[in-house]
Amino acid sequence: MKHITKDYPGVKALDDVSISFEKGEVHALVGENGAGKSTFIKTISGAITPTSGTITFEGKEYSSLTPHEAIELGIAVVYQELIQFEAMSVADNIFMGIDSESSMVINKAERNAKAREVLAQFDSDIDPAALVRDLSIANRQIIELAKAMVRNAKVVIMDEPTAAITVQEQKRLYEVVRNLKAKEVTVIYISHRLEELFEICDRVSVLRDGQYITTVDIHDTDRQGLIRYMVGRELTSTYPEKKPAGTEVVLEAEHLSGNGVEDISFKLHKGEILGFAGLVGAGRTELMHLLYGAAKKTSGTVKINGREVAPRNPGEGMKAGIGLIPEDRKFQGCFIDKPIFWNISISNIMELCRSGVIDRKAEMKQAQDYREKLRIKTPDLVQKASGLSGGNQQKVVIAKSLAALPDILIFDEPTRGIDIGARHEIYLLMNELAEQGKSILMVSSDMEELLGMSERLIVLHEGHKTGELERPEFSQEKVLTLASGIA
Amino acid sequence: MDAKAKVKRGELFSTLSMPVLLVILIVFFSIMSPRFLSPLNLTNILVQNVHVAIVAAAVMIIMISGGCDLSIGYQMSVAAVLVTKMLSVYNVPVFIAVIAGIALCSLLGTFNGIMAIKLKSNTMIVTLATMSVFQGISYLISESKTYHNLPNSFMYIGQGRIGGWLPINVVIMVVLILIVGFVMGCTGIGRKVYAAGDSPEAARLAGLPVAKIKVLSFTCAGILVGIAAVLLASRSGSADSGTGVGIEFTGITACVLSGVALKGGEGTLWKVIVAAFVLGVLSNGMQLINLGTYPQYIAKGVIMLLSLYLTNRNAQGM
Amino acid sequence: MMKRTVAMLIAAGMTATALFGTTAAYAEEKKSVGFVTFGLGGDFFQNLADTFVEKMNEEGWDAQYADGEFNPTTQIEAMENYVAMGMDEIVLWSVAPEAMDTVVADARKAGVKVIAFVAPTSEYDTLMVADNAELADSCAKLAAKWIDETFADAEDHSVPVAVFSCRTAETGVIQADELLKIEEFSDKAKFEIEVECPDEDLNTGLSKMENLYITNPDIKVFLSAHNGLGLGINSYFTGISSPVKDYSDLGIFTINGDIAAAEIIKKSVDGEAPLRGMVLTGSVDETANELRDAIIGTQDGTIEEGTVINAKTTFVFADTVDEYLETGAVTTVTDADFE
Repeated sequence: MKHITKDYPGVKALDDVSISFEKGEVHALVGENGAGKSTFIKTISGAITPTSGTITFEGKEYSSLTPHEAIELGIAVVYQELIQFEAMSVADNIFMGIDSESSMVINKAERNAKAREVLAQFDSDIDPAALVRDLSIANRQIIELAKAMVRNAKVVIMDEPTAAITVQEQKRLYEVVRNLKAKEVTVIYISHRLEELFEICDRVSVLRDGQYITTVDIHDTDRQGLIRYMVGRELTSTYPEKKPAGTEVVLEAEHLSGNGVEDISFKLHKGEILGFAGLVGAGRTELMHLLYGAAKKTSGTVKINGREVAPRNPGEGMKAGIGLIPEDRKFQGCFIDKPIFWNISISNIMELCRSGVIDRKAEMKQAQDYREKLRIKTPDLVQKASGLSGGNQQKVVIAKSLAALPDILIFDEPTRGIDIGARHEIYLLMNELAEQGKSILMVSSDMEELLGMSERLIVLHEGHKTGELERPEFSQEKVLTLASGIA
Repeated sequence: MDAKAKVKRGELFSTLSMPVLLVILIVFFSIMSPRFLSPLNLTNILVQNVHVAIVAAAVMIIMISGGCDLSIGYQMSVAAVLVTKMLSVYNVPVFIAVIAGIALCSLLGTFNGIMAIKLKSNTMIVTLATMSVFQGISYLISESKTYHNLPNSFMYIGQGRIGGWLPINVVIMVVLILIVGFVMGCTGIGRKVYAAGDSPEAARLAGLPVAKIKVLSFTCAGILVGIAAVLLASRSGSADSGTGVGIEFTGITACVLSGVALKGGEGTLWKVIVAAFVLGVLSNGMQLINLGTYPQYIAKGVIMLLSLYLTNRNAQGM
Repeated sequence: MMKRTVAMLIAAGMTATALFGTTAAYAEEKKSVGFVTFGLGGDFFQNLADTFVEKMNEEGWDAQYADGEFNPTTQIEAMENYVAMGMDEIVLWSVAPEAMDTVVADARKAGVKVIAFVAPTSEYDTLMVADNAELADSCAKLAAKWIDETFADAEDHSVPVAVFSCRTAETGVIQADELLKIEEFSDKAKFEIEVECPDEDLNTGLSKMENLYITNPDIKVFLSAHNGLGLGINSYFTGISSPVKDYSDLGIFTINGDIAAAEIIKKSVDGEAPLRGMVLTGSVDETANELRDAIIGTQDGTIEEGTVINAKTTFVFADTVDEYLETGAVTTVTDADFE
């Protein structure tokens, strides 16, 4: 790929980027959100046409590709949001659009057998007759890869394949990637998780603000080095220091059950950041929803400041003094198509009303206050939330929760999909809030974040509490063992 | 900066598309027919679309809350036959009959809302079912008869003129529109309806009683539909089970043309009302220039396509 | 809890429907007839179906009707059901006669007599028709009589007439085309304008009339093949804000009006409304009588296979409206009076 430029009205999404990919290598593409990674792979897959520049594939030069041409050439993309025929079987998905079948009529048994064969190459025992919508995300990724194999793909592009799968599944996926590599397939691997790059990649290219920065051999660099390339400056300390919490207990859960979790007890102290670790499906978010009133508990008690509370809905949870920053920012946290001030005021809108009528001045003032307090970067507050970066969106969601004046804040995946630079901002905010006397429950799938931010850790496995760790005992191995339920 | 200005211009364009279309139509028809701009004709256009505008407002509330209601036509039919039967057969005082009609309609609306929540189904499908129920209720009440011979005081609501020129039903429409516009645009309750429709899950996690909000939206819409039914029946001076049937599609059309989002959470009342009058002016103007039915259908479709183009130009340009 | 209640309600509803269904089933020794209606929306349709059942029961027949829902598919199913139930005779008022050929042939093969009502299917035992064009002619004649009497001193072809049409169905087109020939029936009438309406309901008629008054306020006579449109025009003139208070030189004439229309025609006698007359394919009562005679005749063989019976036209206007409202029929005035 040479001198690829893609202009959007007013924005240069890609600016003269040239990267070459070699046969049979696993080549990582990294950069912050908005660095141009997606735009870049879209020019390869034919989803968009570059404004200028050329793509050379096996010696042949193209000024642009159509999606059809790209497939013909053997370029396959496994998107982050998998686009599949959910109501069709695995085999149907794998062979969709392939004309090699001898007769017009689809021979189901034959097709399933062929599919099983292909899947076996990935050491996978997925039932070819199963419906795609019933499968886990990891298995669905494997189907995409199988699809690529059947089409004799020479280049496979994987966009954030490990964003939504569990630790064990990740291991499996790495195996599959190595497998592809052994078959002389070029893998272009996009990921936010820098540590995994060191495990599977050969080379890594860095993009920043639409510009090509460098390509390095993975062995010639380290995490810090990559981050330096990505953000263009030194990040001193990833996790800011925090004053230790007090000893006063603000929230106490005793033998809490319901919504898929069982018999969970823990204490939260004033000003503390209490982390919750566990694999996907361990019941962390479910537990948070129980506390917040977004789900029904079957037994157990929750005390806040010594008084028992039993919120039956989020409204009551908020009244009890709990605020939630949900895990899915775009669908649960933000009203993405609404203005920023609107988002901030929605949870306490009635307090901003005078005899039912919204006091616009008070509403804007509140938004203005939070914009300053949380350092939300936006030219104006009437802009839609969708126009903000992930980090700033998250700050808006935090502002929304804070507006209801909670004592306890639940951060569910506080930095998912947020740039490394902006993450630091969120961490600073969390510390500031804790130091101001708010108590924080933090759920995260990012191990480093958990270890770096939490003062104590509670580990869940399949709905049960399997451990509680104090800061001095923190280690990745310990958490993983507890989270896997082995201990 | 340049791109931003472009987006702003696009937004402004889509905001103004309906008023611009309305002005274009008015200019066109006033050139084609000298009588189009006569006070009598302008009054006609207003009077003929009173119930359409009110129904469009009702549809808008429901659509903003994230729903859709196909049963509005038969809600109107039920209210219209109930009121006119009470008046013409049982000689019930006008005030009581009118209140009864509106109250019944609000109950039917609430029923729709509760059913949608309890059955956890798409409101469009639920109201498709309740539409049939309401149709049955309407025929049970009307016994397939047409009710006329209504008292003058009732007819006055839909036909009377204040000072001999200002139609009472138009005044009622304006007052209702102002109320709905105010509640949806300026109050906390209105804000909550937008939130519940825009993203029910985000709204729930922000502590809003989403189910309650949705049901109440249907209730309020029901009240509006009831009032529209009374206005229509009193304007016509009679009602049968066919009264109002099919009106929901005009209402939905007006909403969609003005950019009310089908997924909920978006919509502006004044635009909806302007869109309703675009349809009204079109139908009136086409008769004045004596266009046949078949060309009228085509013209109406073309105007609708044109307005969709204008409204969504911004989105398409992205 | 709520769910269970709903489920029980639905179950109860279904049981009730089933029960009604069985009670309506025929008894062995009686002759039976089923009426596949056009549809049941509106006064006229429902009344006809009810009266039909009443009349046949009086004759000792078992009779029932099915809602055709204005839908050929529904009608075919209803036909098939009746054949399966072993009906002796079926009356079919078809929405789309050509679509019914097979099912009619099958029914006749199964020994069921089929009476085609209004719409002729390609085969039938007896056909009862009202000629749409003739009916519209009668309406025009009724209007012409009133025009020529009321405006006796006017110059020839000087009384402006408007026709309100709804050309979305074949019947509407045929009748509108017939009404447009009003000048052939009346020396004084002058056809001025046709107002095409997208729907045939009262509100459409009212709005279209409001608009018409803007451009043509001088029109005196309004003809419409559709009761709803006729009532709408009448509503405009009798409304509180009507520009016209003296109806003596206004006349509205329509086809197949309902009881409400008849009551208004009665008011027109005292100058309180401009809706002055309508013609019907026989009244409900008369039509039911004719239908009854046809059914019995077809069954006992007094009516030969393939017979076509023309329905009589009923004229409701100042002279006959009292008779019509009292007896549901008009016998004093017939087609012959308008030749």
